[in-house]
Amino acid sequence: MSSLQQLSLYATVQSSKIPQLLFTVSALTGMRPLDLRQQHIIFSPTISGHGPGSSAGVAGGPAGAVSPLESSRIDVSREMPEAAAAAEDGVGKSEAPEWTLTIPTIPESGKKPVQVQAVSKTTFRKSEEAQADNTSTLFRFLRALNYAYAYDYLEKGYLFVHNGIVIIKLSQIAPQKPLQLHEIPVGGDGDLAAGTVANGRRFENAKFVNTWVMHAYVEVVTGPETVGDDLEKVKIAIERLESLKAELSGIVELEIPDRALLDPRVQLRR
Amino acid sequence: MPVTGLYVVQEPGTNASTISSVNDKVARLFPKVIGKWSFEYKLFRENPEISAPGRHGSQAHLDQPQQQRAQTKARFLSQLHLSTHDEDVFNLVDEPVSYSATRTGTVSDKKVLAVFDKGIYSIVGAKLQSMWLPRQLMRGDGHAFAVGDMYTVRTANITQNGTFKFLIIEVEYHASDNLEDSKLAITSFIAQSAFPQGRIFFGDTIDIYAELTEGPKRFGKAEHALQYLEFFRNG
Repeated sequence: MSSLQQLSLYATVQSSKIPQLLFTVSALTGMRPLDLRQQHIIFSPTISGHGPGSSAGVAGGPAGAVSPLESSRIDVSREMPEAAAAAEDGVGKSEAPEWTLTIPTIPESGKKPVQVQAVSKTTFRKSEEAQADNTSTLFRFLRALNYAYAYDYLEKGYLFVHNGIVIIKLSQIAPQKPLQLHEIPVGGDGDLAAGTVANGRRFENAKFVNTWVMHAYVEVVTGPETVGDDLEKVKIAIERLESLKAELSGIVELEIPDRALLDPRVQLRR
Repeated sequence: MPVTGLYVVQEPGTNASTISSVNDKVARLFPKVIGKWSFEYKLFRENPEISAPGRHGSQAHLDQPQQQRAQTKARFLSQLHLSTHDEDVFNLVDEPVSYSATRTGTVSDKKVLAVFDKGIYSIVGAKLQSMWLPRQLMRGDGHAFAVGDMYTVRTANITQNGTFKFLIIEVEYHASDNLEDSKLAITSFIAQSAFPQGRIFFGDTIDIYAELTEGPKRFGKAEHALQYLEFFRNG
Protein backbone atom coordinates (compact mmCIF):
# COMPACT_ATOMS: atom_id res chain seq x y z
CA MET A 1 0.00 0.00 0.00
CA SER A 2 1.39 3.38 -0.93
CA SER A 3 1.44 6.22 1.57
CA LEU A 4 1.49 9.95 1.26
CA GLN A 5 4.00 12.19 3.00
CA GLN A 6 3.56 15.92 3.07
CA LEU A 7 6.71 18.02 3.49
CA SER A 8 5.84 21.58 4.49
CA LEU A 9 6.93 25.02 5.53
CA TYR A 10 4.56 27.66 6.88
CA ALA A 11 4.41 31.40 7.40
CA THR A 12 1.78 33.82 8.61
CA VAL A 13 1.18 37.00 6.61
CA GLN A 14 -0.83 40.10 7.46
CA SER A 15 -3.52 41.18 4.99
CA SER A 16 -1.70 44.41 4.17
CA LYS A 17 1.24 42.48 2.73
CA ILE A 18 -0.84 40.24 0.46
CA PRO A 19 -0.85 42.35 -2.75
CA GLN A 20 2.95 42.63 -2.69
CA LEU A 21 3.36 38.96 -1.88
CA LEU A 22 1.03 37.87 -4.67
CA PHE A 23 3.04 39.97 -7.10
CA THR A 24 6.32 38.45 -5.88
CA VAL A 25 5.14 34.85 -5.91
CA SER A 26 3.57 35.31 -9.37
CA ALA A 27 6.91 36.58 -10.66
CA LEU A 28 8.79 33.77 -8.93
CA THR A 29 6.56 30.99 -10.22
CA GLY A 30 5.81 32.58 -13.58
CA MET A 31 2.12 31.96 -13.24
CA ARG A 32 -1.09 33.72 -12.35
CA PRO A 33 -2.59 32.70 -9.03
CA LEU A 34 -5.22 29.99 -9.16
CA ASP A 35 -8.31 30.69 -7.11
CA LEU A 36 -8.91 28.50 -4.09
CA ARG A 37 -12.30 28.21 -2.41
CA GLN A 38 -12.88 25.27 -0.10
CA GLN A 39 -15.33 24.17 2.53
CA HIS A 40 -13.91 22.13 5.41
CA ILE A 41 -16.06 20.17 7.84
CA ILE A 42 -14.21 18.54 10.73
CA PHE A 43 -15.56 15.29 12.14
CA SER A 44 -14.52 13.98 15.53
CA PRO A 45 -14.89 10.47 16.91
CA THR A 46 -17.95 10.24 19.09
CA ILE A 47 -16.84 9.93 22.68
CA SER A 48 -17.48 6.49 24.02
CA GLY A 49 -17.91 5.14 27.50
CA HIS A 50 -19.79 7.24 29.95
CA GLY A 51 -19.71 10.48 28.10
CA PRO A 52 -17.84 13.73 28.61
CA GLY A 53 -18.01 15.19 32.08
CA SER A 54 -18.58 11.87 33.76
CA SER A 55 -16.03 10.74 36.26
CA ALA A 56 -16.68 7.06 35.60
CA GLY A 57 -13.80 5.49 33.75
CA VAL A 58 -11.58 8.49 34.26
CA ALA A 59 -11.01 8.25 37.97
CA GLY A 60 -9.91 5.11 39.67
CA GLY A 61 -6.19 4.90 39.00
CA PRO A 62 -4.73 1.56 38.00
CA ALA A 63 -7.72 -0.36 39.33
CA GLY A 64 -10.01 1.73 37.13
CA ALA A 65 -8.16 0.40 34.07
CA VAL A 66 -8.42 3.51 31.94
CA SER A 67 -7.17 2.62 28.50
CA PRO A 68 -7.62 5.52 26.14
CA LEU A 69 -8.06 4.54 22.51
CA GLU A 70 -6.29 6.77 20.08
CA SER A 71 -8.16 8.15 17.14
CA SER A 72 -8.02 11.15 14.83
CA ARG A 73 -10.27 13.86 13.55
CA ILE A 74 -11.23 13.72 9.87
CA ASP A 75 -11.13 16.81 7.65
CA VAL A 76 -13.90 16.48 5.06
CA SER A 77 -13.44 19.10 2.36
CA ARG A 78 -14.60 20.05 -1.09
CA GLU A 79 -14.00 22.74 -3.66
CA MET A 80 -16.64 25.46 -3.77
CA PRO A 81 -16.38 27.10 -7.21
CA GLU A 82 -17.84 30.58 -7.50
CA ALA A 83 -21.39 30.57 -8.77
CA ALA A 84 -20.50 32.45 -11.97
CA ALA A 85 -17.48 30.25 -12.71
CA ALA A 86 -19.52 27.15 -12.00
CA ALA A 87 -22.12 28.17 -14.53
CA GLU A 88 -19.45 28.77 -17.19
CA ASP A 89 -17.80 25.41 -16.59
CA GLY A 90 -21.11 23.64 -16.59
CA VAL A 91 -20.55 22.71 -12.98
CA GLY A 92 -24.00 22.78 -11.55
CA LYS A 93 -26.16 20.53 -9.54
CA SER A 94 -25.43 17.60 -11.83
CA GLU A 95 -21.67 17.88 -11.20
CA ALA A 96 -21.36 18.48 -7.47
CA PRO A 97 -17.72 18.73 -6.32
CA GLU A 98 -16.30 15.58 -4.79
CA TRP A 99 -15.63 15.39 -1.06
CA THR A 100 -12.13 14.47 0.10
CA LEU A 101 -11.43 12.89 3.49
CA THR A 102 -8.05 13.71 5.01
CA ILE A 103 -6.47 12.43 8.22
CA PRO A 104 -3.02 13.83 8.92
CA THR A 105 -0.79 12.35 11.57
CA ILE A 106 1.17 14.34 14.11
CA PRO A 107 4.24 15.76 12.34
CA GLU A 108 7.45 13.81 12.79
CA SER A 109 9.84 15.07 15.40
CA GLY A 110 13.49 15.41 14.53
CA LYS A 111 15.93 17.83 13.00
CA LYS A 112 14.73 17.86 9.40
CA PRO A 113 14.70 21.38 7.90
CA VAL A 114 11.06 20.96 6.88
CA GLN A 115 8.02 19.53 8.58
CA VAL A 116 7.26 15.93 7.58
CA GLN A 117 3.76 14.63 8.09
CA ALA A 118 2.12 11.43 6.87
CA VAL A 119 -1.32 12.06 5.43
CA SER A 120 -4.11 9.60 4.66
CA LYS A 121 -6.45 10.83 1.98
CA THR A 122 -9.38 9.41 0.06
CA THR A 123 -12.01 10.75 -2.31
CA PHE A 124 -15.65 9.95 -1.87
CA ARG A 125 -16.93 8.73 -5.21
CA LYS A 126 -20.33 8.66 -6.77
CA SER A 127 -21.72 5.16 -6.95
CA GLU A 128 -23.82 5.97 -9.97
CA GLU A 129 -23.23 8.12 -13.03
CA ALA A 130 -26.59 9.83 -12.71
CA GLN A 131 -26.22 10.65 -9.04
CA ALA A 132 -26.20 14.41 -8.61
CA ASP A 133 -25.20 14.79 -5.00
CA ASN A 134 -24.65 12.02 -2.48
CA THR A 135 -23.41 14.14 0.40
CA SER A 136 -25.94 12.77 2.88
CA THR A 137 -24.74 9.22 2.17
CA LEU A 138 -21.20 10.29 3.11
CA PHE A 139 -22.33 11.91 6.35
CA ARG A 140 -24.43 8.89 7.31
CA PHE A 141 -21.44 6.68 6.56
CA LEU A 142 -19.21 8.77 8.82
CA ARG A 143 -21.83 8.65 11.57
CA ALA A 144 -21.96 4.87 11.27
CA LEU A 145 -18.14 4.83 11.60
CA ASN A 146 -18.63 6.68 14.93
CA TYR A 147 -17.79 10.15 13.67
CA ALA A 148 -19.83 13.29 14.25
CA TYR A 149 -19.69 16.89 13.08
CA ALA A 150 -17.38 18.96 15.30
CA TYR A 151 -16.82 22.33 13.61
CA ASP A 152 -16.33 23.81 10.17
CA TYR A 153 -14.67 26.65 8.30
CA LEU A 154 -14.37 28.13 4.86
CA GLU A 155 -11.01 28.73 3.20
CA LYS A 156 -10.20 31.02 0.31
CA GLY A 157 -7.02 32.17 -1.29
CA TYR A 158 -4.59 31.38 -4.07
CA LEU A 159 -2.47 28.51 -5.32
CA PHE A 160 0.83 28.52 -7.15
CA VAL A 161 3.18 25.80 -8.32
CA HIS A 162 6.89 26.41 -7.93
CA ASN A 163 9.71 24.42 -9.47
CA GLY A 164 7.33 21.76 -10.75
CA ILE A 165 6.51 20.11 -7.44
CA VAL A 166 6.16 22.72 -4.69
CA ILE A 167 2.59 23.89 -4.12
CA ILE A 168 2.27 27.30 -2.53
CA LYS A 169 -1.04 27.92 -0.88
CA LEU A 170 -1.79 31.40 0.35
CA SER A 171 -5.10 31.40 2.14
CA GLN A 172 -7.24 32.80 4.91
CA ILE A 173 -10.01 31.05 6.74
CA ALA A 174 -13.44 31.96 8.06
CA PRO A 175 -14.35 29.89 11.13
CA GLN A 176 -18.09 29.29 11.17
CA LYS A 177 -20.35 29.71 14.15
CA PRO A 178 -21.51 26.47 15.74
CA LEU A 179 -25.05 25.48 14.85
CA GLN A 180 -27.76 26.91 17.06
CA LEU A 181 -30.12 24.50 18.71
CA HIS A 182 -32.96 25.34 16.32
CA GLU A 183 -30.69 24.59 13.33
CA ILE A 184 -29.89 21.02 14.37
CA PRO A 185 -32.21 18.55 12.67
CA VAL A 186 -34.15 16.39 15.09
CA GLY A 187 -36.00 13.20 14.34
CA GLY A 188 -35.59 13.15 10.56
CA ASP A 189 -34.06 9.92 9.35
CA GLY A 190 -31.89 11.50 6.68
CA ASP A 191 -31.04 14.88 8.18
CA LEU A 192 -27.75 15.46 9.97
CA ALA A 193 -26.11 18.52 11.46
CA ALA A 194 -23.26 18.19 8.94
CA GLY A 195 -25.81 18.25 6.12
CA THR A 196 -27.19 21.54 7.40
CA VAL A 197 -23.65 22.92 7.52
CA ALA A 198 -22.69 21.64 4.06
CA ASN A 199 -25.66 23.30 2.40
CA GLY A 200 -25.96 26.38 4.57
CA ARG A 201 -22.53 28.03 4.50
CA ARG A 202 -21.96 30.91 2.06
CA PHE A 203 -18.67 32.56 1.10
CA GLU A 204 -20.51 35.82 0.47
CA ASN A 205 -21.51 36.17 4.14
CA ALA A 206 -18.35 34.71 5.68
CA LYS A 207 -16.05 36.81 7.85
CA PHE A 208 -12.46 35.90 7.05
CA VAL A 209 -9.72 36.45 9.62
CA ASN A 210 -7.13 39.12 8.91
CA THR A 211 -4.15 36.82 9.05
CA TRP A 212 -3.22 34.79 5.99
CA VAL A 213 -1.24 31.58 6.05
CA MET A 214 1.33 30.65 3.46
CA HIS A 215 1.72 26.89 3.24
CA ALA A 216 4.43 25.63 0.88
CA TYR A 217 4.36 21.87 0.51
CA VAL A 218 5.34 18.88 -1.55
CA GLU A 219 3.32 15.68 -1.50
CA VAL A 220 5.49 12.61 -1.88
CA VAL A 221 3.85 9.27 -2.57
CA THR A 222 6.00 6.45 -1.23
CA GLY A 223 5.64 2.71 -1.09
CA PRO A 224 6.14 -0.42 -3.18
CA GLU A 225 3.52 0.53 -5.80
CA THR A 226 5.22 3.81 -6.66
CA VAL A 227 8.05 4.63 -9.05
CA GLY A 228 11.45 5.84 -7.90
CA ASP A 229 13.58 5.78 -4.81
CA ASP A 230 11.62 7.04 -1.78
CA LEU A 231 14.60 8.61 0.02
CA GLU A 232 15.66 10.37 -3.15
CA LYS A 233 12.16 11.80 -3.63
CA VAL A 234 12.13 13.16 -0.07
CA LYS A 235 15.62 14.62 -0.54
CA ILE A 236 14.57 16.44 -3.72
CA ALA A 237 11.41 17.75 -2.02
CA ILE A 238 13.45 19.14 0.89
CA GLU A 239 15.89 20.82 -1.50
CA ARG A 240 13.06 22.49 -3.45
CA LEU A 241 11.39 23.75 -0.27
CA GLU A 242 14.65 25.11 1.10
CA SER A 243 15.33 26.84 -2.18
CA LEU A 244 11.88 28.49 -2.04
CA LYS A 245 12.51 29.54 1.56
CA ALA A 246 15.75 31.23 0.54
CA GLU A 247 14.15 32.98 -2.42
CA LEU A 248 11.30 34.40 -0.33
CA SER A 249 13.51 35.32 2.61
CA GLY A 250 13.14 39.00 3.52
CA ILE A 251 9.58 39.11 2.18
CA VAL A 252 8.12 36.24 4.14
CA GLU A 253 9.92 33.85 6.48
CA LEU A 254 8.86 30.26 5.93
CA GLU A 255 9.39 28.04 8.96
CA ILE A 256 8.34 24.89 10.80
CA PRO A 257 5.41 25.42 13.18
CA ASP A 258 5.04 23.81 16.59
CA ARG A 259 4.16 20.20 15.84
CA ALA A 260 1.73 19.98 18.74
CA LEU A 261 -0.50 22.53 16.99
CA LEU A 262 -0.98 20.15 14.09
CA ASP A 263 -1.77 17.08 16.18
CA PRO A 264 -5.10 15.69 14.93
CA ARG A 265 -5.40 13.00 17.57
CA VAL A 266 -8.13 12.70 20.13
CA GLN A 267 -8.38 10.12 22.85
CA LEU A 268 -11.40 7.97 23.39
CA ARG A 269 -12.01 6.75 26.89
CA ARG A 270 -14.01 3.70 27.67
CA MET B 1 -23.91 -1.15 -16.66
CA PRO B 2 -25.06 -4.67 -17.57
CA VAL B 3 -26.87 -6.62 -14.87
CA THR B 4 -25.05 -9.37 -13.01
CA GLY B 5 -26.05 -12.31 -10.85
CA LEU B 6 -23.75 -14.02 -8.38
CA TYR B 7 -23.88 -17.81 -8.15
CA VAL B 8 -22.08 -19.33 -5.17
CA VAL B 9 -21.13 -23.00 -4.90
CA GLN B 10 -20.36 -24.06 -1.33
CA GLU B 11 -21.83 -27.54 -1.21
CA PRO B 12 -19.88 -30.31 0.56
CA GLY B 13 -17.38 -31.82 -1.84
CA THR B 14 -16.61 -28.52 -3.54
CA ASN B 15 -12.86 -27.93 -3.63
CA ALA B 16 -10.24 -25.86 -5.39
CA SER B 17 -10.34 -28.09 -8.49
CA THR B 18 -14.14 -27.87 -8.95
CA ILE B 19 -13.51 -24.67 -10.88
CA SER B 20 -11.88 -26.72 -13.68
CA SER B 21 -15.11 -28.62 -14.34
CA VAL B 22 -17.06 -25.34 -14.25
CA ASN B 23 -14.65 -23.76 -16.73
CA ASP B 24 -15.05 -26.88 -18.93
CA LYS B 25 -18.80 -26.35 -18.92
CA VAL B 26 -18.31 -22.71 -19.91
CA ALA B 27 -15.87 -23.85 -22.64
CA ARG B 28 -18.68 -25.86 -24.26
CA LEU B 29 -20.42 -22.55 -24.96
CA PHE B 30 -17.46 -21.52 -27.20
CA PRO B 31 -16.52 -18.45 -25.20
CA LYS B 32 -13.79 -15.92 -25.83
CA VAL B 33 -11.33 -15.74 -22.94
CA ILE B 34 -11.24 -12.14 -21.68
CA GLY B 35 -8.54 -12.61 -19.06
CA LYS B 36 -7.98 -12.74 -15.33
CA TRP B 37 -10.06 -10.96 -12.75
CA SER B 38 -9.98 -10.78 -8.97
CA PHE B 39 -11.51 -9.25 -5.89
CA GLU B 40 -10.71 -8.72 -2.24
CA TYR B 41 -13.11 -8.62 0.69
CA LYS B 42 -12.31 -7.33 4.18
CA LEU B 43 -14.50 -7.45 7.26
CA PHE B 44 -14.05 -5.27 10.35
CA ARG B 45 -15.92 -5.40 13.63
CA GLU B 46 -16.62 -2.42 15.83
CA ASN B 47 -14.32 -2.52 18.82
CA PRO B 48 -16.44 -3.99 21.65
CA GLU B 49 -14.70 -1.63 24.08
CA ILE B 50 -16.27 1.40 22.45
CA SER B 51 -19.59 -0.25 21.71
CA ALA B 52 -19.99 -0.83 25.42
CA PRO B 53 -23.32 -0.24 27.14
CA GLY B 54 -24.44 3.35 27.29
CA ARG B 55 -22.13 4.73 24.65
CA HIS B 56 -24.86 6.25 22.53
CA GLY B 57 -26.52 8.93 24.57
CA SER B 58 -29.63 8.70 22.44
CA GLN B 59 -30.27 5.14 23.64
CA ALA B 60 -31.79 6.64 26.73
CA HIS B 61 -35.21 6.72 25.12
CA LEU B 62 -35.21 2.95 24.54
CA ASP B 63 -36.84 0.68 27.07
CA GLN B 64 -34.86 -2.08 28.78
CA PRO B 65 -35.37 -4.98 26.29
CA GLN B 66 -34.53 -2.63 23.43
CA GLN B 67 -31.39 -1.48 25.20
CA GLN B 68 -30.31 -5.07 25.73
CA ARG B 69 -30.86 -5.84 22.05
CA ALA B 70 -29.03 -2.66 21.07
CA GLN B 71 -26.11 -3.52 23.30
CA THR B 72 -25.67 -7.11 22.16
CA LYS B 73 -25.77 -6.48 18.43
CA ALA B 74 -22.28 -6.16 17.00
CA ARG B 75 -21.74 -3.82 14.08
CA PHE B 76 -19.57 -4.66 11.08
CA LEU B 77 -17.86 -2.79 8.28
CA SER B 78 -17.15 -4.56 4.97
CA GLN B 79 -14.79 -3.41 2.25
CA LEU B 80 -14.88 -4.83 -1.25
CA HIS B 81 -12.61 -4.18 -4.20
CA LEU B 82 -13.46 -5.67 -7.59
CA SER B 83 -10.92 -5.58 -10.39
CA THR B 84 -13.82 -4.83 -12.73
CA HIS B 85 -14.20 -1.45 -10.97
CA ASP B 86 -10.54 -0.96 -10.25
CA GLU B 87 -10.73 2.63 -8.97
CA ASP B 88 -13.46 1.96 -6.41
CA VAL B 89 -13.58 0.47 -2.93
CA PHE B 90 -17.11 -0.33 -1.73
CA ASN B 91 -17.74 0.11 1.99
CA LEU B 92 -20.83 -1.25 3.72
CA VAL B 93 -21.38 -0.44 7.37
CA ASP B 94 -24.20 -1.25 9.80
CA GLU B 95 -25.89 1.86 11.09
CA PRO B 96 -25.89 2.29 14.87
CA VAL B 97 -28.94 0.69 16.39
CA SER B 98 -29.80 3.80 18.36
CA TYR B 99 -30.20 5.75 15.14
CA SER B 100 -32.15 3.17 13.19
CA ALA B 101 -34.50 2.28 16.03
CA THR B 102 -37.84 3.65 15.08
CA ARG B 103 -40.26 5.22 17.48
CA THR B 104 -42.37 2.07 17.44
CA GLY B 105 -39.47 0.15 18.93
CA THR B 106 -38.55 -2.05 16.00
CA VAL B 107 -34.86 -2.15 15.19
CA SER B 108 -33.99 -2.13 11.51
CA ASP B 109 -30.90 -3.63 9.89
CA LYS B 110 -30.21 -0.57 7.79
CA LYS B 111 -26.75 -0.19 6.31
CA VAL B 112 -24.89 2.54 4.45
CA LEU B 113 -22.92 1.89 1.27
CA ALA B 114 -20.21 4.42 0.43
CA VAL B 115 -17.70 4.29 -2.43
CA PHE B 116 -14.19 5.70 -2.05
CA ASP B 117 -10.91 5.42 -3.89
CA LYS B 118 -8.18 3.12 -2.54
CA GLY B 119 -7.06 5.73 0.00
CA ILE B 120 -9.87 4.45 2.25
CA TYR B 121 -7.75 1.37 2.98
CA SER B 122 -5.20 3.40 4.92
CA ILE B 123 -7.92 5.40 6.67
CA VAL B 124 -9.87 2.38 7.93
CA GLY B 125 -6.91 0.01 8.27
CA ALA B 126 -4.57 2.43 10.04
CA LYS B 127 -6.33 5.53 11.32
CA LEU B 128 -9.54 3.90 12.50
CA GLN B 129 -7.89 0.77 13.82
CA SER B 130 -8.78 1.55 17.41
CA MET B 131 -12.47 1.60 16.53
CA TRP B 132 -12.70 -1.07 13.79
CA LEU B 133 -10.88 -4.35 14.29
CA PRO B 134 -9.98 -6.58 11.31
CA ARG B 135 -11.84 -9.90 11.39
CA GLN B 136 -11.68 -11.50 7.97
CA LEU B 137 -9.85 -11.21 4.66
CA MET B 138 -10.94 -13.16 1.59
CA ARG B 139 -9.60 -13.12 -1.93
CA GLY B 140 -11.01 -14.32 -5.20
CA ASP B 141 -9.00 -15.02 -8.35
CA GLY B 142 -10.19 -16.45 -11.63
CA HIS B 143 -10.91 -15.97 -15.31
CA ALA B 144 -13.53 -14.11 -17.32
CA PHE B 145 -15.15 -15.42 -20.52
CA ALA B 146 -17.36 -13.68 -23.09
CA VAL B 147 -20.16 -16.01 -24.12
CA GLY B 148 -21.63 -14.66 -27.35
CA ASP B 149 -22.70 -11.02 -27.27
CA MET B 150 -25.14 -11.41 -24.44
CA TYR B 151 -23.23 -12.86 -21.50
CA THR B 152 -19.94 -12.57 -19.66
CA VAL B 153 -19.09 -15.32 -17.19
CA ARG B 154 -16.50 -14.88 -14.43
CA THR B 155 -15.42 -17.79 -12.30
CA ALA B 156 -13.18 -17.64 -9.23
CA ASN B 157 -12.06 -19.60 -6.22
CA ILE B 158 -12.44 -17.74 -2.95
CA THR B 159 -9.69 -18.29 -0.42
CA GLN B 160 -9.14 -17.24 3.16
CA ASN B 161 -5.51 -17.25 4.30
CA GLY B 162 -4.72 -19.37 1.25
CA THR B 163 -7.37 -22.00 2.11
CA PHE B 164 -10.16 -22.71 -0.38
CA LYS B 165 -13.60 -21.64 0.89
CA PHE B 166 -16.09 -21.29 -1.99
CA LEU B 167 -16.44 -21.19 -5.73
CA ILE B 168 -18.29 -18.30 -7.33
CA ILE B 169 -19.64 -17.78 -10.82
CA GLU B 170 -20.71 -14.31 -11.85
CA VAL B 171 -23.02 -14.08 -14.86
CA GLU B 172 -23.28 -10.71 -16.56
CA TYR B 173 -26.22 -10.09 -18.86
CA HIS B 174 -25.71 -7.35 -21.45
CA ALA B 175 -29.21 -6.93 -22.84
CA SER B 176 -30.60 -4.80 -20.02
CA ASP B 177 -29.65 -2.45 -17.20
CA ASN B 178 -32.71 -3.31 -15.12
CA LEU B 179 -32.29 -5.96 -12.44
CA GLU B 180 -35.86 -7.26 -12.35
CA ASP B 181 -36.00 -7.64 -16.15
CA SER B 182 -32.74 -9.60 -16.18
CA LYS B 183 -33.22 -12.03 -13.31
CA LEU B 184 -34.99 -14.64 -15.45
CA ALA B 185 -32.36 -14.53 -18.21
CA ILE B 186 -29.51 -14.94 -15.69
CA THR B 187 -31.26 -17.71 -13.74
CA SER B 188 -32.03 -19.58 -16.98
CA PHE B 189 -28.45 -19.26 -18.18
CA ILE B 190 -27.17 -20.76 -14.92
CA ALA B 191 -29.71 -23.60 -15.05
CA GLN B 192 -28.87 -24.45 -18.66
CA SER B 193 -25.14 -24.44 -17.98
CA ALA B 194 -25.56 -27.30 -15.46
CA PHE B 195 -23.20 -25.78 -12.91
CA PRO B 196 -22.84 -27.59 -9.55
CA GLN B 197 -25.55 -27.01 -6.94
CA GLY B 198 -25.37 -23.48 -5.56
CA ARG B 199 -27.25 -20.34 -4.54
CA ILE B 200 -27.86 -17.17 -6.49
CA PHE B 201 -27.52 -13.63 -5.07
CA PHE B 202 -28.95 -10.52 -6.72
CA GLY B 203 -28.01 -8.10 -3.93
CA ASP B 204 -31.53 -6.80 -3.46
CA THR B 205 -32.18 -8.03 0.07
CA ILE B 206 -29.83 -5.64 1.84
CA ASP B 207 -31.62 -2.65 3.32
CA ILE B 208 -29.32 0.24 2.48
CA TYR B 209 -29.80 3.94 2.92
CA ALA B 210 -30.38 5.50 -0.49
CA GLU B 211 -30.77 9.10 -1.53
CA LEU B 212 -33.70 9.86 -3.75
CA THR B 213 -32.74 9.79 -7.40
CA GLU B 214 -34.75 10.87 -10.38
CA GLY B 215 -35.88 8.48 -13.09
CA PRO B 216 -36.03 4.69 -13.17
CA LYS B 217 -33.57 2.72 -11.05
CA ARG B 218 -30.74 1.41 -13.21
CA PHE B 219 -28.28 -1.29 -12.31
CA GLY B 220 -24.95 0.28 -11.44
CA LYS B 221 -21.62 -0.61 -9.89
CA ALA B 222 -23.06 -0.19 -6.37
CA GLU B 223 -25.74 -2.80 -7.11
CA HIS B 224 -23.03 -5.03 -8.55
CA ALA B 225 -20.94 -4.77 -5.39
CA LEU B 226 -23.99 -5.36 -3.21
CA GLN B 227 -24.36 -8.88 -4.63
CA TYR B 228 -20.97 -9.81 -3.19
CA LEU B 229 -21.61 -7.98 0.06
CA GLU B 230 -24.98 -9.69 0.41
CA PHE B 231 -23.34 -13.08 0.07
CA PHE B 232 -20.45 -12.37 2.42
CA ARG B 233 -22.68 -10.80 5.08
CA ASN B 234 -25.70 -13.09 4.88
CA GLY B 235 -24.82 -16.05 2.68
